[in-house]
Amino acid sequence: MPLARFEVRNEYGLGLPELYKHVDRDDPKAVLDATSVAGLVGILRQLGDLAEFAAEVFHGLQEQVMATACRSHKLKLRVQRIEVALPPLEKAVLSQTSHIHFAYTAGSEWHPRIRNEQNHFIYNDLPRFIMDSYEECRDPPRLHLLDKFDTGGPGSCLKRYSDPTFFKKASATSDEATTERIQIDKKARRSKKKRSSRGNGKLLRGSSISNRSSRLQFGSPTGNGQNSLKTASVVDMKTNSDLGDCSYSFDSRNGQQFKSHGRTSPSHTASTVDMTLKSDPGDRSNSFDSRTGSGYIECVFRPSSSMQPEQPESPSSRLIQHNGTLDSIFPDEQTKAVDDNFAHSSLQEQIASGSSCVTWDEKAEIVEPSDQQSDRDEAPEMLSTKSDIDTHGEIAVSLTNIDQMDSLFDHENSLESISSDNQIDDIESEPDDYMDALNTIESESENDLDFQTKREVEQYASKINDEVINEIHQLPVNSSDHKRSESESDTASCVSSNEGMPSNIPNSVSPESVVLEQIPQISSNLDCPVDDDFDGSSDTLDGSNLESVVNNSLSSTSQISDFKDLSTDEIFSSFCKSQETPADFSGVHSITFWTNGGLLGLEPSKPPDYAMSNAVGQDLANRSKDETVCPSAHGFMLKGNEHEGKQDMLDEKAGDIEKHPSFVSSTSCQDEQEDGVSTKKTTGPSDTDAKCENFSVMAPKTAVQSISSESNQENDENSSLVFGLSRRLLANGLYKKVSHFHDENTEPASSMNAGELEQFSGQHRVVNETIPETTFEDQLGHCSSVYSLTSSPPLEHMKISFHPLNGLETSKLKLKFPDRNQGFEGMRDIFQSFQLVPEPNIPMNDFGFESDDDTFCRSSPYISDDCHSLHSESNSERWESGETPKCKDLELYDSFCGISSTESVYSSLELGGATNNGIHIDGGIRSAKMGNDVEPSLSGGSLLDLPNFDTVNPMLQQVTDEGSNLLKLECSGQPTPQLPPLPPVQWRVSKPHLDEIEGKQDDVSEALTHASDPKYFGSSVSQQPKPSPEKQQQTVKEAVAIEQLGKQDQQKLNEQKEANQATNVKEMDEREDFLHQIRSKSFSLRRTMTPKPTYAPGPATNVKVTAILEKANAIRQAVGSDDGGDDDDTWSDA
Amino acid sequence: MARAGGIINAVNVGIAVQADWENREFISHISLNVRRLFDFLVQFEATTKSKLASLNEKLHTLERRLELLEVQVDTASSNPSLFAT
Repeated sequence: MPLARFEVRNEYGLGLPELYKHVDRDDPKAVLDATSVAGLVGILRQLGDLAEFAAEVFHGLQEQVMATACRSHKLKLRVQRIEVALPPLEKAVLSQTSHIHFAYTAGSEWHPRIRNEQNHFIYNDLPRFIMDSYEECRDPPRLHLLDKFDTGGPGSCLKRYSDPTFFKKASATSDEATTERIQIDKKARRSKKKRSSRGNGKLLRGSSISNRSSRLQFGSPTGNGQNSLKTASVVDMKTNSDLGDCSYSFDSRNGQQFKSHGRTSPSHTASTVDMTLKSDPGDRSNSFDSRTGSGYIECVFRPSSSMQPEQPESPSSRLIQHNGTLDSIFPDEQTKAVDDNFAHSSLQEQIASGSSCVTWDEKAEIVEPSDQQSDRDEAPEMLSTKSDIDTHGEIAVSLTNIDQMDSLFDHENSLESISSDNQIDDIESEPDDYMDALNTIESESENDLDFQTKREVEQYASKINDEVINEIHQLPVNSSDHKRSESESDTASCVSSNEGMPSNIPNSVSPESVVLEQIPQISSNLDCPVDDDFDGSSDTLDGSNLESVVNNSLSSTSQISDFKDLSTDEIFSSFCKSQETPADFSGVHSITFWTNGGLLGLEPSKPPDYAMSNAVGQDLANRSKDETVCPSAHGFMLKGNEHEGKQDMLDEKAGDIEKHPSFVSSTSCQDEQEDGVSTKKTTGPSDTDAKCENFSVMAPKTAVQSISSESNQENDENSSLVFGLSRRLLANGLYKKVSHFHDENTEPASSMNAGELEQFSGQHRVVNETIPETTFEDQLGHCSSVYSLTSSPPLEHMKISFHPLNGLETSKLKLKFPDRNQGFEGMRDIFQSFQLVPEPNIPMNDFGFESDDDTFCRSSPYISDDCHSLHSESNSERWESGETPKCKDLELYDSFCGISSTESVYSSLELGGATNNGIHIDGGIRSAKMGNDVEPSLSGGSLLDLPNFDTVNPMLQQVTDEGSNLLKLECSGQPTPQLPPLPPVQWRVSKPHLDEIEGKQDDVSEALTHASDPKYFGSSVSQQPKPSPEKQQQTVKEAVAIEQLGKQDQQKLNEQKEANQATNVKEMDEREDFLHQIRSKSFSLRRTMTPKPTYAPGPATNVKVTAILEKANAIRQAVGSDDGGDDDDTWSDA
Repeated sequence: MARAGGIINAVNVGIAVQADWENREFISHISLNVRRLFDFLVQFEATTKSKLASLNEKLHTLERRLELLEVQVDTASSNPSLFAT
């Protein structure tokens, strides 16, 4: 429609028609005259319109001209003002000799009034003639009458005719599309980066991936874990985050955790947290569905959610209480650890470090269980419905909660949680999860270990608390009911919790589950979960696992609630401890991941990396546990009582109560558990066998350590990993659980060797025998030894894991240093780091040895192939075969990887433990230097393991003497743990060499280690800084020897161990050979490390240590390849 | 007499028609010129407004420049230290 500025009508039309209508038509002249007049009138009108139009135009023009004139006038005035003000300035400027300084003047901050260039066309600016067109236009047709015939709803028809919002929507959609595309691109980039990072550093991902992998594993039943791995996207996993699926409380938790994780560590931690959270709900949902029902879980979680906001505070309060209780019961270190954990528990603190975050999550979860328990107390109805299950399950719940916390790390738990999560989150997340399955499985295996340890710790703590409460405090109805009425149930719950741990570690769990079967549903559930976990295929199994987890969580929560009700500090302390241990584990995990991903860069050996990380985490956890546990001898007693009761129950059920007599206390409980496992093995089906294997593996490890230096070599590796856990467990009275968990964890690895299980069982028996003889510390040492033994099989995987361990160590060091929990972890890390850090060369050697050991183990059996690729499945299969045929069923390479990772973790732990053991052994056999070094730190500080080891060493020796047969059996049965014997000798031999060679480096490393030690260990480590490097060197040597041994066949290793034990001289020679190799390596390392010695041993070792670790890792990597050949050579030499 | 009356009527009609034509032509001319005036006014308005707009734009530019100059002058005048070597 053309716009008419003005319409001029016809002149004749303007004249009135009356002028010529009333004329006489007979007189034509009149008619014509009339028309002429009309025309003239029209012209006059046009002229009038013209005048009007002209007036309008000129009026407008006048206005504009007037405005312009006004503006010009104003400008004129302004110009005049400027003209007035300018001359003096001009003079001043012209008077300046140099105008350069004006260029440096600040100038004036002035911003002109920028007109809003948008909205050029606004309603008020419309010209009048355009407004007239709008005003004159007609309304649209009444199409709204047709809306009832249109599915679009009211206004749809009219929109089809004319949609004034069309352009607006179109523009918005276009913008959105662009934004979405950008976001998608960003996400894809992120996912790619994450994937790449995963591929590069599985360890880093480990925590999150493990969690994810757990989901994947759980999802695996629905689909293929590998497929899920392929499709797995970290972002999806994160997005799944289970928040939506989980109860509100979980959401809040998850959100918090996520925040914390997201802040501190990337999505990994967050994902791990999510996983844990998911795992919890999922497990609960599954288990509850079958047993108590999802409602129960919801209740638990809801309370936890409600408590979540309070959690940060409650942990602190609990920590305070714990401090008091811990002071009485636990050593200061424990309290410190608890404090640290709690401090870490704070979201911000968690944010500070990924490990701390993990720990915090675990803590939060632990707290959540407590909250849940409180909720239970408040609403016992829910619990009452599931009273039995709750009572049993409460402990289990607590465990599961912790486990859930750990589930992030635990494969099985994560799988369970994932399965549940998948259920909740739908299958969408599954593919992503599957993508991560392999990595996650590995990490899960590690996590499983941690979970086990954590669970064990928690269980022990809860048990101890329960016992203490029962003894000291009158447990509330719930708690008392659960505890007292179910002393058996408590034991059963403990067992169930243990089983839950085993469930996490499918194999080990199954035997326990058998025992649990005797108990109530929980046991059956536990059994199922265990199988499921390993199988990773059957949903029912997952559900059972979930149930077991739930039971564990319930039990723990019930215990916690009881504790809350009782308001006993012990409970809090136990929780704190458990939390701490989880935190340690988490931290360890995170560390491991870090190290794996970055330092070694042994991507192929990701599973071992995970294992290493797990091992490290276990070590840390063990340390923390040991720290916390060792002081809590009462807890041991209580635990022992509980365990005894449980064992009794088990015995009643299983009928194998041989261990009971041997059960002196908690340690005896462990033995009993182990015995129960063994009995289960005998009585129970393959599942029980697997558990028994696990248990046996653990026991054998301990036995092996105690038995002979040969076994020590293997045990050293295994025990190093195991020691920390076992120590912690022992200290916490969690020995059983921990050992079981570790056993379970190790069992997967050990399960590879089915025959080993038998040996392990025999070893367990031996251990049980020895344990009664040995004191708690001895028992602890046994536990550690057991762990070391179990870890020995993982050592093969450890090859890869060792590399990651280094990386993990570095990462751990980084993480740990900032945090207490990390500090504990750092303790372990320090051990590792001692190996690495204090002795840049030596550590390198150590790492190289470790890697060599790993390579050895794997090289002989699977070596890097397994680690690198799914070949690990074969390893895992072996382990699993020994552990659980379920894993085979799953064939989830992820699960295998996870197992391998767990194994590797054990191996890594073993490495650390092996070093410790080796130190202990050395101290006991050769000189007390190492022992002194380690012992003081252990005894004085958090490193209870060391003293335990020391004590254990003699005890182990005794045990070895006594159970030499068992050791032989173990050796024959467990070719993987072969390494132990050599390390001590090597250490001994290598110590002087290394000291001589490295000299300054050692001093520096020692200083570093000292600095790190004080942090982690407190004062004890600092007391003997020098020995620590020596120990590290020794450990390195041992690791080298272990690597060599690992390369050698297990039989050969066993034989060598025996030979070493029989003839230390030969071992010394071999070790010397190894040392020479190491030296050669160390020389290269020295070159690289020479600049490192500049590191001041001052307290600011965190950064230094990290740098040193990084260097050590680099050296490792460099040496690792060399070590591989060297190890092979040494192995051949050996 | 009838012929003369008939002829006279015819002549008168012819004259009237011619006169009408002349009147119509006159009216059309006037009307056309009026329209031209309208057109002129419209064009005049457009051109005038266009020029005024350009003038206003220039004035706006001048105003901004003047504003900057004023600020600079004020800054310079308020900070004599700038010129203090």
